[in-house]
Parts: sequence; structure tokens; C-alpha cells
Amino acid sequence: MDLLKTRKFSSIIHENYLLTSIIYRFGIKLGFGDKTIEQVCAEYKIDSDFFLEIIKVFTDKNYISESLLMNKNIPFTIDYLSKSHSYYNKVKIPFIESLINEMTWKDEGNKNNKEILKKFFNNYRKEVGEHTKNEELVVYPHCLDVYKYHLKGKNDLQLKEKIKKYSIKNYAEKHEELNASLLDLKNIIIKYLPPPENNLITEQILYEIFRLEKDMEDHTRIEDTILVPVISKMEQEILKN
Amino acid sequence: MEEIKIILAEKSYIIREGLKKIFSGYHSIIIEKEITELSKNTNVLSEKLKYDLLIINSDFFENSLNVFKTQFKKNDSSKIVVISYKYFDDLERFFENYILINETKQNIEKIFQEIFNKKSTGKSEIHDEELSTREKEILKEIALGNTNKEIAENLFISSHTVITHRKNITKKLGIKTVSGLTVYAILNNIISIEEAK
Ligand SMILES: [Fe+2]
Ligand SMILES: [Fe+2]
Repeated sequence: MDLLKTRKFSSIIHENYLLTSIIYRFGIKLGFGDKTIEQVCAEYKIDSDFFLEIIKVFTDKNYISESLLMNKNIPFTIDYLSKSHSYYNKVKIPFIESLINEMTWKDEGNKNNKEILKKFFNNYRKEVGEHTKNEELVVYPHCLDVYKYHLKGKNDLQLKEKIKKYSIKNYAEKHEELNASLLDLKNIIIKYLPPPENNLITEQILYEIFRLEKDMEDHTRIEDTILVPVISKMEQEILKN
Repeated sequence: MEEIKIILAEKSYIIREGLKKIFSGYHSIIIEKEITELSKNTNVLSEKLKYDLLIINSDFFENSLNVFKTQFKKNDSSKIVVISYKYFDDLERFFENYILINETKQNIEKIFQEIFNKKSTGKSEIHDEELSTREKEILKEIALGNTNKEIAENLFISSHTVITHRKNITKKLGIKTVSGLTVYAILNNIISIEEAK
């Protein structure tokens, strides 16, 4: 996607309608008329350079964002990641849950299907909830501490001690498991679940799961390939001094 | 036999030459590219290289096994062989094939033979196959919430065997997590919904 700040905001949605979920997270609402990307961002007090980088990461999974790898963008990135968490926890996952609730089967033999599926999804919801909570309570604050110290702390010994107690490298690994649950759910629905009466629901659920999966992949990619290496490098520099 | 294109990502000259020596025993193997250094922004897998097999030393991952994993997730993990100076847990967890530096000749030959056989017969994955009776028993135990150790004790087999069965079940069903396997077991009347608590 050719991205210039002077482009009309509406045109990027025309080009990739999936971006609606990104702008939702930034709090941007549709109905932007003919305003440019720059104008809309200014209106919502969003750094337009940062916004465009996120769009690029979202649209091209092989895109390596030099800009997001710069220290100064760490607070923006963390803010965006947190916003994505609430998008998953408060919007997407409850929505899929409500769709599952709408599934119906006629015959006796299938009466438990909904309950089974709900239970599975409820587990998944908890997993995501715990994962994101840990990031918000432990990982991200640590990253911000490191960032803060690196930026101007230097004499703040208390902060330095705090940083030393945790390393960004302790974090991670869990992403694989989160993804595994979604993969399982896809296979269960595609291969094993007896089709419900209202088949259209299954189609919607699958569509939502595929989207959530892709979205979370982009999200964890930012965590694993941007947050971890940048913070880890800062940590090393801090410990050297 | 079809050609097998290999990418060799290995810093050590000795190991690279050693591998080439090993491969000289096979026909139709082509070393497509040798990567001897990983600069900050190169990514072996995102380069649009075509290969059948990537052999990569774990020292390429450095601290960022995660980075690597996010990239290869979409690729077939059977297309990757990791060479490592020492054993670590993630080796077993994330990679189907790995070779330790002190691996015996027989083991190395076995590993490559298996990979190449799969390639030539095209049977790289067992798909949609029925579970065996034994596997169903194991699946039931998993769905009841038992650990590998408990399953081993209940069925009088070794934990190692349990793990092998689990891997095969996952391959056949395409389901990996315990709660996913439980759903499958209930849907297929292997356990009842009441038992799955
Ligand atoms: Fe996250
Ligand atoms: Fe995460």
C-alpha cells in the first residue's frame, strides 16, 4: 500500500476494509469525509507517522518497521498494544461468544454441542485475558521503566534496581499456546462439529476467528520482533553502566 | 527422485563442510544457498527463496527464538532442521527435526533419511487417518484430565510412548490443546460431557 499522509483517509479503507478494526482501536470513527490521513490523525491527536507504521505492519507481514524499532516510539507502541488488548477482550471475543450462543441444533444427540463449544471458548477467553493482563501489569510497565531510565533516569538507582529484577527475556513463549487454541477451534468447527441448523452462523464464526487469528499474529509480531529486541538492548546497556 | 534444494544457515565452516560431506552420499541434493552470517535485518525465511529444506544453526536465533518462530510458523516445520551445540527445551518443543553437534552417524543418517523419504513419497503428513484403538485410549485419558505420567501409569506404558502417541493424535486430528482434544472426545462419544470436568 502506497501510504502518504496527504492521501484521503477514506481511500485506505476502500483499499483494505480490514483496516476498520485498526482505526477502531485508535478511537477513529468512520465518516471522515474527504479529510486526509494527516488531518484525521491531527483531529484525534494521533501521531500520523506512527499510525502509518502500524498500518504498514498490519498490511504486510514481512514489513520490517525501522521506525517502530526506534526507542522514541516505544511508548506509542505500548499504548497501541494495550488498545488492541481491549479490542480483543472487550469487543472481538465477546462478539464471537455471542455468535456461538446463537448456534442451534435440532436433534437430541446434538443438544450438548453448544455447551461444549462455549466451555472451550470460555477457556480460551480466560487464557487471552490472563495473557494480556500479565502484559499490562508486568511486561509493559517494565518496558516503560526501562525506556524511562534509558531516556533520562541514569541517576535513579531505585529504578535501576527495579529494572534489574526482571528481564524482558523472561517474557514470551506463551504466544504459541494462545495460537494453538484458535487453531484447534478452527479445526473443530471445520472438521468435527455437526453443522447447526443455522449454518450462516458457522460461517460468521469462522470468519471472525480467522480475522482474530490474523490480528493477534500481527500483534504478537510487534511484541516479539519490536518490543522484545528494543527493550532487551536497552536493558543490556543499562546493566553495563 | 526429485531434486531437494537445501539452504544451509551455518556460521561454522567446519560444520558446513561436514554437512556437505554427509550430503554427498545422497543424489539429487542441491545446496541452493549458504548463509554464513545473519545481518540485523535479514530474515532467512522472509527472503523469497525457494527451498525444500532449511538447515539452520540455533545460534542464528540468538536471543530471539521468538522472532524466528513467528516467521516459520506459517512454514512447514518439517522443512526445518536445527543444528545445535547443545540441547535446550525449546528444541524439542518447537522443532520436529534437530541434530545435536555430537549426534552419532547412525542418528544423523536416520534423520535425513526420514526427511528425504517423506519428500519423495509426498507423505509428509498423516492426514485424516482414523485413530488407532490405542490412540483412542490415550485420547480418553487426556480428555479425562490426566497428565502424561498418570496416563503412562494407567496404561502400563512409558511416558515417552505417551508423548509419541500424543504427537500422532495431534497430527491426525489437527488438534493440539487439551481442551481441544476434550471437545473432540466428547463430540465423538469417547467420553461423556459429565466425565469431562
Ligand atoms: Fe499483547
Ligand atoms: Fe502477547
